[in-house]
Amino acid sequence: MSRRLPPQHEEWIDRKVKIDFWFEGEKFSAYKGDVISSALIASGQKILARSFKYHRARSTVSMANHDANVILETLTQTNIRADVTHPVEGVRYQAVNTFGGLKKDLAQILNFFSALLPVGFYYKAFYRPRFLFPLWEKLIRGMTGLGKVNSNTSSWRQARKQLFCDVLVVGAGPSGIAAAEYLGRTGLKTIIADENDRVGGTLGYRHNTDQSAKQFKDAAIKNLANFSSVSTLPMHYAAGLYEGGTVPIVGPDGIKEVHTKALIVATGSYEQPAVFRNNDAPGIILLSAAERLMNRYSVLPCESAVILAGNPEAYERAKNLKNIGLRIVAIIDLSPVPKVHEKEIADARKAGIKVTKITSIVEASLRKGILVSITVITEHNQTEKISCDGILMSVGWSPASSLLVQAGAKLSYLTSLEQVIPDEIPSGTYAAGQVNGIHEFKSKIDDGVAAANEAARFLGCDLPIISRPKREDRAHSHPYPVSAHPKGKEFVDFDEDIQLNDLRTSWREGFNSVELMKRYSTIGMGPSQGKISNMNGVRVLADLNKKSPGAIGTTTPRPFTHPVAIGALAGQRFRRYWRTPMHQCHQRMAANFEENGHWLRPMTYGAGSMQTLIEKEYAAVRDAVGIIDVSTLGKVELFGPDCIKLLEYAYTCKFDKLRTAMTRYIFMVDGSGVLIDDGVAARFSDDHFYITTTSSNAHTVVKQLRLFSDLLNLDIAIVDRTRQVGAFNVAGPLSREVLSKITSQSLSEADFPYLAVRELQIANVKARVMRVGFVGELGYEIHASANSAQTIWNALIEAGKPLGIMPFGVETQRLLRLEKGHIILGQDTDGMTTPFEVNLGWGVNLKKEQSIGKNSLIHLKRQTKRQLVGFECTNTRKLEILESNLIVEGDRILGRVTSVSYSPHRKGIIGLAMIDSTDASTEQICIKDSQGNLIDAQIVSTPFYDPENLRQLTS
Amino acid sequence: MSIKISPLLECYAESNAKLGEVFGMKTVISEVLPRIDTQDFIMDLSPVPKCLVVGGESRQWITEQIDGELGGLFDCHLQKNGGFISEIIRDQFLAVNGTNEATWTSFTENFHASGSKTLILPYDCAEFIVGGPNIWNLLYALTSFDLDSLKPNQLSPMRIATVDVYVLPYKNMLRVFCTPADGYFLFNTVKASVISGGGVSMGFNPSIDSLCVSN
Repeated sequence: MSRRLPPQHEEWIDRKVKIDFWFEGEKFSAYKGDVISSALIASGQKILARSFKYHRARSTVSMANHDANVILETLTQTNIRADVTHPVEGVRYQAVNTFGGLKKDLAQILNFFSALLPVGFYYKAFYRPRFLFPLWEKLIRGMTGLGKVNSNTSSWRQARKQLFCDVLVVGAGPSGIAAAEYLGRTGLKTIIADENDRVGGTLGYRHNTDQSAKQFKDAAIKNLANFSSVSTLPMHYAAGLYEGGTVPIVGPDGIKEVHTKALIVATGSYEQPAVFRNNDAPGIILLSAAERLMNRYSVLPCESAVILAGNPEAYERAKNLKNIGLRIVAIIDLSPVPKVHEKEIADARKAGIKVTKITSIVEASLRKGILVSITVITEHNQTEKISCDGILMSVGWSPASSLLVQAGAKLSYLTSLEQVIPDEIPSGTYAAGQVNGIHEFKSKIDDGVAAANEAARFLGCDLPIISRPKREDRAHSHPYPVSAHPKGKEFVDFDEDIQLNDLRTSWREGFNSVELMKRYSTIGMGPSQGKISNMNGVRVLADLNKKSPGAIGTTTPRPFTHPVAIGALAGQRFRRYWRTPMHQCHQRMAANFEENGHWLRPMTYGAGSMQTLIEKEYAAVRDAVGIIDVSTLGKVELFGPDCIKLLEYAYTCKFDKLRTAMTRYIFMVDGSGVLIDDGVAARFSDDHFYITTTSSNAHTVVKQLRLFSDLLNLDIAIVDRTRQVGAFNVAGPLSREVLSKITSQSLSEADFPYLAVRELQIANVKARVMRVGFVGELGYEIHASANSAQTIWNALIEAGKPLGIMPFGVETQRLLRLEKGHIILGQDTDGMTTPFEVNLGWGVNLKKEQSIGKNSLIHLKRQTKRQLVGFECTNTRKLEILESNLIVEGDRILGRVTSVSYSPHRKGIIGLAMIDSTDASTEQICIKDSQGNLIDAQIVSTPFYDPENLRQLTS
Repeated sequence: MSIKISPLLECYAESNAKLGEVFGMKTVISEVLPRIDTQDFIMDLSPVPKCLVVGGESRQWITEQIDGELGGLFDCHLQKNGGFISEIIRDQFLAVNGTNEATWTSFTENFHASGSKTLILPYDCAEFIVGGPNIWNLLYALTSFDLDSLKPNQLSPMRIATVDVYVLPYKNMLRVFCTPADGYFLFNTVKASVISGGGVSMGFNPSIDSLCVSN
């Protein structure tokens, strides 16, 4: 059976291209441009889905993504909205939430027990006996949910794009395109977005028989295409409005974050269903759904239709559908106001359509879940049963006002329209068209133009004021399209299977405000977010409270207005990391990288256990020569006459005695005297210094220095060169021999003493070289421009090969410096550590006129409560102690281990520990390891290695 | 052997790239220019020499070296050889050479601040140019900045794919400057976008500046 109509004027399908797909195991055909629902209905498929709670038969309601009745899934994807999704060739779709398939869904049985499952039943039923709760929980969790996520399919992400405009127009119906066309003439950068495949909105399916509407649409669309300042985005819905005028609009290729200066909301309104017994059955749809089906997809929604008319436009719309092939059995007029539709009724009768005025609907009768008739009470109080397989409802509207509310607009209820309208809209946001309570076609266009005029003037365009059209003074919504039935099954919310009686129960139990009722009954909390249920919910609550809907208010519509896929929300992943200039050299040497902050750094080199690799690298440095990449260190150039003033303020020491071409160890404290960074300062001249910082604090130190410079009004340029300069440390007794092979300049102790800095030509590259010794050996720290650094590194490796040079990683460096007793900030210190606690008092000069933290340091010097000490366990080689293990004495905690390692030099475990000052003079400590064992250790003086510094000073 | 190596050289590893040396830097070179009206492209410009002129007297010193007056912060003072000078922080000027090697010595090489209270530092960075008919559309997926607000002849600090960069726009082209440490990640990220849209990755071509027409 085919319900396909002959080609329609505005149809969206391409009859030349056929698409075959599968639904619930059966093969169906669609035309290109069809959505899944239209193709299935065209093929005579009546039941497309099962409801969430009672598993009742369902089909489409709105054909516009305003309801969530028909949600499908495939093997790889779930949450497919069949009303707006085009079928894909060969794909197998099936309904979600069934047990045994759509036709034989075993869970249909729940429909017969619905009386036992009232609103909030899970709050009331399963808490006793308590031991059964896990069983109930498992059962309920197994029964609920819409669709299954296949975790075996690969995840996908969509890039999030940024768009910027003067005005964003949301909705491309008559008001929206009129607004965009007006804005196009002003030259303002405008984006117009619409959720449908094509722009035009109701122009394409409701006003399409009106010649003037057709002319307007054709001209406006052509004009929009010609304006270079206007971009049109069909298939994009606005998901919400965020701070600063940011509107995420979601399309097939992901989210576009639109940053707009003004917003025109021309989103129209959602048609509302009537509430009566069995109103959820397949075949009972909104009249707008029938309009969409017939005009866009050329599909008849049913064989014989009853039109349920609750507003004047129902008649004209019915007539239009009749003209293109809909068989209308009758129009039943639900209006409570006598003679209000007199003219429309007369016109309809003249056109040969039977019209019956009714006072209420008794029920829709079903056979095997499918609609067969509707029973009504006529105005003469007679019961009339009308056979039909379709009921098309035109009883009212609810404005799509989410964006307006999110912008800060208030909503008020206009009794003359029986509709909520936006009120007190903040400037910069404008409503136009049906969302603004404008229903007449020409007025919609005028309202769009007036909104655009207001937006343009808001943005500074000098334009004459265009007045808004007046709202009509007759209602387009039925004030209470609800007919109760003693046996229930009058559905208010299709998503959650919420019946009229559920709302009454909620109210009786005290959930009598709109927000409480929503949360208790879950009305409006399903996937369609109450688009076609909230207004009826408000009307029901108003009736129960004996108030007007305006006095009840509405719930808060938060983003998102439609669901957004997680992959679209996630956006493209930018897993950024920094590579040192020698990264490729490390790769060639089989480095084992780890992320250190943003940096990728070699921890060790080669294959094997970490301990073996460390011992190998350690031996190279102690016995021959090693090379380590230290490009991650912060590097700052200071240039200007006030260099010393800045350094003396920022660091704890004096700099006046630091001679040109020499370096010194420096550290920085904050205002409370806590250690925050350390490094080396090199002096090139009175007005030119070069300092290094720790890797993690480079950015912070530069910011601090710039802050101090401004604070003190200094004449100094501060250049952050951290990522522009490569640096590496060549260390070991043979380091001088290696370096001398690739530079012609003298490296003798006399020409290049310990702590000196020199500018050398190394392998034909200009480099700065500092003689410093973090690892406790003769060493040279070489700094060169990033793009040249590889050349020096490669030359050193080549020159060092005969001498056994090896690269060493961060792990080995940690061991080497620990033997030397050098601290690592952040590891051996914490957020309270002062210089005096880590034996750096020698580097604090308190006689300076001013420096950051000076006053705090004066106090702290007298009140040092903790002390960093060295400890040693000579009776074990196995590393059982870990950093942060506690040092205890009975129940008392004396401190904690900050660094620990096996020392090849001491042939035992060595470490640093922060302990109470009162215990620093003790000789023995007890460490509680991670397994709770107590391990004895001796406190020893540091450094553990070469305490006389002979190896760094060796000639 | 080249002393300098382009920080983006590794990003060309998968292609049959032709290696060469430009401005003393090893990089991939291309003998053809991109067809910017029809095809998106990305090209390494890291070899173009750059330096940083620093100090309280740097503005005055630079003004003495060039024709004309320097503009405000980020304004590019264009040089005859196609290069430019722009103040990027107070008293710190980025000087970028033209792309043509023949004009190298006429510009940055001539900067010797001897006797002046001005410091000249090499400015090592990863630089690339990305262009073509769809390039703005591609870049909008990688940045939250309004690319339409970029001004010709003005260097703008912005962020692409979370990386802090300076950019200089031309008609359908954008020059991007970032640190060498960020170069590999950023170039590959932008390159992936360009290639997914049907564009190409090209080596350095010194004539690229002939296409750099301001809007």
